[in-house]
Amino acid sequence: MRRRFLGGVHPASYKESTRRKPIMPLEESPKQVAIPLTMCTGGGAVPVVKPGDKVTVGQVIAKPEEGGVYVHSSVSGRVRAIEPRPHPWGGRWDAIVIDNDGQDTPCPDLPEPMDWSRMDRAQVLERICQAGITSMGGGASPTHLRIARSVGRVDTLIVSAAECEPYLTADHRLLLEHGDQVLQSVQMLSQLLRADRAVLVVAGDKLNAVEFLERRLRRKRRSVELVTIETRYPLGMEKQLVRTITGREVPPGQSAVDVKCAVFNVATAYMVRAALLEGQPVTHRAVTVSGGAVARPRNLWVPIGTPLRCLLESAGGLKEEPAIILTGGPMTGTVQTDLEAPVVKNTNALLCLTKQEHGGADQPETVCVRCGHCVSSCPMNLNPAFVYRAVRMGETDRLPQLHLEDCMECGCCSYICPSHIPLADLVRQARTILAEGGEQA
Amino acid sequence: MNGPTIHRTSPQIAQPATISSTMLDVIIALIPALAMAVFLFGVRVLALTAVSVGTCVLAEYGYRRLRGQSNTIGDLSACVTGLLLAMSLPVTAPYWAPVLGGLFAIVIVKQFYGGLGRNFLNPALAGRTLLCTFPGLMTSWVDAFQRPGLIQGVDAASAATPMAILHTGAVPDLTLGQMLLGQHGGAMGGVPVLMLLLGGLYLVSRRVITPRIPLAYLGTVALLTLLFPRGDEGALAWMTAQLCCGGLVMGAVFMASDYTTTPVTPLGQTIFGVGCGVLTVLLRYFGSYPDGVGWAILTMNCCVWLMDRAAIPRRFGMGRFALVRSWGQQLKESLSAIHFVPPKLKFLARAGDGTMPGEGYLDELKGKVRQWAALGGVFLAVCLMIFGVHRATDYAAVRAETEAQEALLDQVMPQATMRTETPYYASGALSITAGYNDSGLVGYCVEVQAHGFGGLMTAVVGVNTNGEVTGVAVTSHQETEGVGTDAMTQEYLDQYVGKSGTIRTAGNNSVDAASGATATSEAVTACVNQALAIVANLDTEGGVDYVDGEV
Amino acid sequence: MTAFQLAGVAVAALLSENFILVNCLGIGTRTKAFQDPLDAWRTGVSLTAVTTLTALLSWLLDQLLQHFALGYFQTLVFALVGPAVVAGLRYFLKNCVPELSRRMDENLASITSNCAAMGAALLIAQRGYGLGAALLFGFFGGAGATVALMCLAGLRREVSLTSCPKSFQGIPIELVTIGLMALSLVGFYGLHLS
Repeated sequence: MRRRFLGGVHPASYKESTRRKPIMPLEESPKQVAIPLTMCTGGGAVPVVKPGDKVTVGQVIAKPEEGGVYVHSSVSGRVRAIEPRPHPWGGRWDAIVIDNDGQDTPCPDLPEPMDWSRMDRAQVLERICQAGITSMGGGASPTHLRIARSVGRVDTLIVSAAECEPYLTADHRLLLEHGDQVLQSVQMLSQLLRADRAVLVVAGDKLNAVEFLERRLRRKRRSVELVTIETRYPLGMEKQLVRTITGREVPPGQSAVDVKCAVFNVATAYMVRAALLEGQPVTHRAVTVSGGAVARPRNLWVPIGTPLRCLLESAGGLKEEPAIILTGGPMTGTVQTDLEAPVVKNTNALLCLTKQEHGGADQPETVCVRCGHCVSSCPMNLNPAFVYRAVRMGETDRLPQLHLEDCMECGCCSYICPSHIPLADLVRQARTILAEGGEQA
Repeated sequence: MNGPTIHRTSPQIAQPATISSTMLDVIIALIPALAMAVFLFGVRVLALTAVSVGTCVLAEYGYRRLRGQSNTIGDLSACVTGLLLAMSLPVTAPYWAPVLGGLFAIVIVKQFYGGLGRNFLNPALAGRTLLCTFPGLMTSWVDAFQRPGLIQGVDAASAATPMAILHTGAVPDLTLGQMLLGQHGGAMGGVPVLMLLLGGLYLVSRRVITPRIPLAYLGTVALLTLLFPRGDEGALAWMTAQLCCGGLVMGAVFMASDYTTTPVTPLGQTIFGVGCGVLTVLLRYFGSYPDGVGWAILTMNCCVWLMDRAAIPRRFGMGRFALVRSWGQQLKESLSAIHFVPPKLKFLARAGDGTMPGEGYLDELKGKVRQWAALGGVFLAVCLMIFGVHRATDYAAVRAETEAQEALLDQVMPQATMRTETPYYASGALSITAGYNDSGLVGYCVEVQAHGFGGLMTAVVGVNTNGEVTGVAVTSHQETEGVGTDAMTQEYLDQYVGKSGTIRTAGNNSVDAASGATATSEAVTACVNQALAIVANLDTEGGVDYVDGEV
Repeated sequence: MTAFQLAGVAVAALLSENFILVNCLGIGTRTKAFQDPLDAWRTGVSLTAVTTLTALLSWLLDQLLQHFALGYFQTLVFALVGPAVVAGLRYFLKNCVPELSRRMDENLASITSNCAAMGAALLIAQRGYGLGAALLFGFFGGAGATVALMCLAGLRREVSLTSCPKSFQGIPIELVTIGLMALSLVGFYGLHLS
């Protein structure tokens, strides 16, 4: 196993409850889905349907604005309204609400499967944009733009199934159940980007997946390299992966492309393949429903726009009062207060944590004892202890030299602090102070 | 963009340990060593520990209560301080020792600076160090399995600890097993090395401490003692003895890895460990105290702020020496602003600048003369005063001095009846007096200095023309009353009479050191050796015949 | 003196006879010198330069005085050598290296009344060091004082000196801090390399 970066923490993985559960569809289709117009970080979308229109699965219902991607319907039925609805990223934003008729009629106008190796690059990118693909691993940037930035400029493609956060198993199941397609997708991306080296990264706790994939690789003799890395959070983050796989460090202020690497999530790669080879747009995704408060944790294949409440119902509901409900992983996820919020393209998990699981983060804050655990666990070599001192003791003149713009907000420092000081929040606060010109906020 | 944005929030999980659970882990790690200490030294160990822990906890509670601050004894750090303080004492320590040490450690070293996390010296170590400055307190060690009772004076039989033996340059006569289990004299908790190592492993496995500092510390000591061994049993035996004896393992595992008083950055921690190791070896080899661990760690604690500033982690994505290079750049820019400007030397500024020739010149001259005349006048007056006083008191002073000198030199060179100061100079000699009697030159009395236990010691040594010592007298010293002065009694100094050549501390041509005053005895011996060497190499007309003694 | 003995003199001047922490010489009246690390560095460097030059000059003058049997003028001469060296150094810097003078003139001026310069001269004369030993003693003594001043200044910025009882705030807690630093140097008393 490779362990090339310093820092990181080892939270308990809690993946046992869902890693053996295959991805299943919802027990009951949602009666209504609310698909938000903005599901990616590049830009929004403009609806092309109006209330009362009939839609089918895979039909385009919104065209992108500058920097966005297409939005498709994930169920067949009738558009009820276009109105503000709760968004899992916070607030209420416009969404297309569709009443589900339960038929799941596929759209007749889906694009033809393409012999993509014959088509030119612009058409391929347009197809990917039309399929509405965004990063499915948490960050939601439009994939066609990422690919466009990287074509011809990279020599290593890294497709990550590392899934370093606890509780998450959706990517793991994807590898096990669709291993061949995953390998094919890696190869496709590598050819598309004209990379010399294609690496599929798997975390060391997914050994059965590794074995399975290795067998497949040997059989089909694909040119994909399989690399196992140790399970350490935040190994799945872009800069850490690049460092571990290629040994190159991304200089401050730049991204992986600048060191000739492209990093994609395995679910995104899978979707790219589906879009190019089968013409399928993004209408469903795999979501892990887990946490100590869930009665039957499982992995679900869910239409985009399904309210989170339906996911919970399919997982048997809550068996006890949860201390907190999150979408995404426990280290970087978003707290949800309204279970009517829908699943969007980057929702990879729904977690309902018990008081015991969440308890560590609620402990009262005590004094900093200068243990240095935060410094040695920071994957970006920052110094949270000094930030604490600067912010709490008012020595903000020391902040500029701590180069806080490198912080990727992974949360390792808050996790590891024995005094339970909210260091990640303090760093965020410090950045605000710096942005406001050094005045104490 | 007018829409929802992803923003990361804080982690919703955290590792379960807290400060009190961490301190509890440290206490658990110390229990095996404590148990072993009880086995070796008896129940008094427990009594002393109880007194120490009690004092520390009460001191912290009382101080904070009096100052109206929050109650912090729940974080168990005072317990740990008390435990560590007790474990570094000898079992024969009186009960007031941990009380004093605990009060000092908690109130002054820790609470005066703000309590947990704000002190700059290790409290337990500072308390122990304070007690070290009391003579006799930390020097009466008993051997293992001597179990002094709960209430007793210090009459348990003292034994030389392995550390004392190592300090003289010999390897103690113990097997590795005995050293690891602690079957010898020493500090209560510092002795069972194996138990301390087990405790350290427990702490590392619970992720309480990283092995960085202990390994750096122990590794440096091992390397240095391996490279520069002493004693006759080979480098490896010396290294093992140095590692296992004394408070090194306890210091490395429990004191040097204390959170608050060590650097925060990984590289800084390594530098700290290495620095502690270097200082420990330096002190053990050349210092007065047998064990340098405590002092080394405290000295490094004072420099931690520097290590934190200097050893910031390398910025992710920048080259390995980018920071150093940028510092170098800044320094170069700063220094390049400094130029040497050839001076325009003019004695008088206005000479020849316009005006009538000579006019400004004269004014300037007058001003300058006035300035310097004042100073010169004062100087002259003072000189004259000194000279006058010197002449007036010279004879009386000289007479008094001569009488004192006579008495001293009587002690040092009884055979001589007449003495004169010589104009000879030798490096290291404060003065050289020649002694004569009826048959001619008897020898020289040389005043020399050497480093004793507490500082410089000055002695006068008489050496006759055969190169033998006629007498020794110590004129000034900074040794401890009652301890070091044992080595300066007449009967002790008489041992030197008649010796020549180079006097050793053991073996041929040696004197017996006064017990308990090894450093002082060595200092006296050093003085004598210096004097002998000076006389042997003295450059005079009439040569000095000397007989080289057994070397 | 052999090289080993010379090294012993140097190490002693640096650690076991540290001017500030052991011999209690050298803390001048300029309080900024031990409050700001950069100022402490500059003061220390000035002190080192002055003690080295004073050591040299006073050794020469001492030899002269002894030669002419005028040893009783020793105190007067040493008392004048220190300020003379400082004045000469300041004059030289002002005229020849103005940038350095601009940065360090205040620090250099504060050494005029610093007892470490004269103290070094007296100690050297009392112990009868040779020229090499005298220079080493002066240089490393100054270096030790620099380190002590910088440590004190650095500690002051890191350590909170306002958490103690009100009666201790200000000078008392600073003295306590210096005392604690000196405590850690007690182990170096009597350290000698030979």
